[in-house]
This record gives sequence, structure tokens and C-alpha cells, in this order.
Amino acid sequence: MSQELIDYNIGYLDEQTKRMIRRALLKAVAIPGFQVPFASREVPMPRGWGTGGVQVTAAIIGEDDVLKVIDQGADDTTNAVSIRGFFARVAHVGTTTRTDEATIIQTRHRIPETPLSEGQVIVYQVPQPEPLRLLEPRETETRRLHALEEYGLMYVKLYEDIARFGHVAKTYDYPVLVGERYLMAPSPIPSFDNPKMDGNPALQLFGAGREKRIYAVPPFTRVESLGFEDFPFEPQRFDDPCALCGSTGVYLDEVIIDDAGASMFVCSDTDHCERTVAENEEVFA
Amino acid sequence: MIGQANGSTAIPAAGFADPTRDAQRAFRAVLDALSHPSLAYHVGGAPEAPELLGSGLGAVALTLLDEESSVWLGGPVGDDEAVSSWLSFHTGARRVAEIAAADFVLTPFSDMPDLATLALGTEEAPHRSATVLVDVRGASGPARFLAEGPGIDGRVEFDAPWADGSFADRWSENNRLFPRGVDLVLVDATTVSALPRTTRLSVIDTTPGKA
Repeated sequence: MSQELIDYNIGYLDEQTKRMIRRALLKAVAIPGFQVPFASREVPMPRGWGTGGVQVTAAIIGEDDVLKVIDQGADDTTNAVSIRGFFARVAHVGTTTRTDEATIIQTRHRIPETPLSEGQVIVYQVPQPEPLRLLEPRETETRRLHALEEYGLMYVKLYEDIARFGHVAKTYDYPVLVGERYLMAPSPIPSFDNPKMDGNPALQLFGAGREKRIYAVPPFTRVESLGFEDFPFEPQRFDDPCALCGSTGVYLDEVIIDDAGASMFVCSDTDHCERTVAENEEVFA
Repeated sequence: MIGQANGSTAIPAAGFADPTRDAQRAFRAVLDALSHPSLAYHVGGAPEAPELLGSGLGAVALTLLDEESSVWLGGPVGDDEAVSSWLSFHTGARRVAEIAAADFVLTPFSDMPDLATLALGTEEAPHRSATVLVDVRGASGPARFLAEGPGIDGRVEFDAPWADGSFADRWSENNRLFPRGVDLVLVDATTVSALPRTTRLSVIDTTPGKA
């Protein structure tokens, strides 16, 4: 009775679907930052849980790949564990939690602290691929705005933030200009991570399953976070080090530690935190 | 459908030995090549592809073409019954006579049509443009280019034995159309390299005696 009832194709998707996604990926790489429509398929998870990222990963992954999946930086959350298990089973790939050992990293809303290297691929799960959507709801219009490279709306939004709050209030999904041409939503990564996209040696692929769009940033491509001469882009900063590993210059999550509301700030990147803790122990052992 | 065009009943040669794995490997090579212009990647092969098409180009064709895509065949491959029946049998791609209607153009470099006559996409849909799969087997020209653009760390020099004297000018015409334009996938017997529309080339003079 242990025999499986269904023998899935390697990578879960059928070959015709993979070809369709692969053709879209090639166009996405050729036109950095441009959103290429694709026929998003059903995968065994609900829309909004990373179906775009899963489809992109399924279209590129092979048996000699090593997959890492993170959710808000963590390797050990439900979504990350499930997606890793899914590909281990349907694509027969090795998995890892170490950023430096992975060939493909699928991510929800973070870029790992460990710098990516050439040859790696990072696949972002994207809920809303259109950076102008909240400013212009009509797809016909946003397409035209991209065609005309008319991004005044976004600058007005940033200007209004500055006029009201004295600074740009957007701290995640902070808009970027890719290759000095296309305005792009970096998926809701914190603006802390935005500088890592610029000139990154890894191939960055973005999949939006519900919205049916794929886009990409090739390696060594200029990714400029929008700003003004007198109010340049400023990524988030953290004054205190991680309470567990002591790292500075990393993105921290607030964790509530008792019923009185006390909290501590720890690395969002669990792989980075664990390895730094291990290194510290070696030093002090 | 087999051999329908000339009424023969010849069975086309085999495609991929292991379609899922072979297509994945070939695709990653093409994706890597397009993400790193100037570098060549091992593409695997479809060893039984018709000789005129070649094993490498055959593998790329099997990986990217299917019944949803249209293809235009240029040069001798366009007249070869073995090639068209093999492609039609294994991919189901629609062969079109109108070059501007083709999603894929498959041609030896020497017969590559004027790029401006291919599908170039529109400002709103620049992705609706042609990808040119170019057979560059046996090329041994002296061309050497300096390349820059996305996928390249700064600038890089590379040999382009397939290119002729007028290619750099033709390519810069294609650059000027950005975001419209075509992308080239250059395939020899076992490796693939690529030029996305974003790669800018300048000619390096390789005439002996000049630095």
C-alpha cells in the first residue's frame, strides 16, 4: 500500500508548462525589470503562498541543484519547510539551509545576509509585481506608463511622503529602477535589502503566480532605489546588534519574549545567525 | 503527420533520450548564457538530430519550441525535409513563411536575415519579439568584441568567431530599439552562448601589427 498513486513529472509541472515558463524567463532576462505575462498554473498550494516562485523554481531546477528556501529570512518556517520538502520529493534535489551551498534560493521577502555569488539563482515570491498598481489601478494604463518610461506618479508619491512625514515612509517593496529603464517592484523585501540587488553577481528571478507575471534582474545589473538629490534613498538601519549572535549590519526581527511585552531583536536570517553563533562558540571554546 | 510533406513514411530520428532531464539541462545552459553574455555553456545535445540542424541546436529547439510557438527556418535548414519533419514531429511548432510572424528564427549565421525584418515587439509588449537560434558550428573568423551591459561585470572582451565584419553595426541597430529588439542564441556543436538585446558591442581591432 506504500506505492504512490500518482507519479509526478520531475519538477511537478508538465513539460509543456515548463517550456512556456522557460520562454517567459528568457524574455525577462533579456528585458531587465520588464514584467512578462505567463500562464500561471495551479500548484499544490494556495495563490499568495508563493505559487509564482514555485513555478519559476520548478521550471529551472534539475537534479544536481541544491535548493534553499527562506520565508522572511528563516529556513525553519512552515512555508519554507513545505516548499523545500516539495522539491526534494518531486524534483529529487538536495536541499540546504546554508546560503553558500545553495545553487537556487527561493525567497519570500528577504535577501540572505551572506553575499550571493556568481552562478547562484535567487527566486523571489512576488505578491504584487506592478509597482504602480496602488497609484494606477488600470493594467492598460500601467503598461502604457512603462512603455513611455513615465514614472512621475511614483516620484509624486515619494514627494508626498517627504512633504507629510519629512522622509520617505516606504520601508518595504521600495521601488527601484532597473537598468536605468524599468520601474520594478523588488517584492516586499525590506528597503534594508535594496542595496544588495544592485550589481548582484547572482541571477535574480521574480515570479508572481496570482498576478501571472515573471520578471528578472540579470547579474551585474544596475538597480537604483528611487530618491531625490536632496532626499536620497536611505535603507533602514539598526543601531543594536543581534541579541543572539551579536551581528551588526544585518536585518533584525523583533521577538516578544514574555507576557509583559518585553522584546529582543534578533537576525531575520536564521542561517546567518546560527553560523555566527557557531563561529563565536569556536572562538570562545 | 510523419513525413507528410513528401508523402514518404520515413520515421523521424529520435529526440531527447531523456526529455525531462535533457530539456532542463539545455534550458539552464541557455538561461545561463543569456544571463552571462560572452560566456559559453555546455548545452548537452540531441545526438540523433538531423545533421543539418546539429546536436546542440537540436537540443535547444526541443527545449524551447512546441505547438504554441511559431518558427521560421532560414538557409539550407529551411529546405531540408529531414529537419522540418524532425522539428514538426518532436515539437509541433508551427512553421511560418512570414518571417515577421515567427517567435523563433532558426538559421545558420551566414543566412541570418536582416534583424529589422523580424518580430521586434512593441513598446508596450517588447517581449513579443523573435528569438534567433543561430547555428555557428565550425565558425573560425577573427572577430573579437568588447561587450558591456546587464550580465557583464563592467566590460569583457570575447572572441566571436561566428561574426562577420558588419555584425557589430547590425547589432547596434538592434540595441537602439531597446526595449524592443531581438535576442540571439548562438549554438555550436556542444555549447551555447547568447546576446540579449541589452548587450552593447564594440569591435576590437585584431589586425596583426596593431595593438
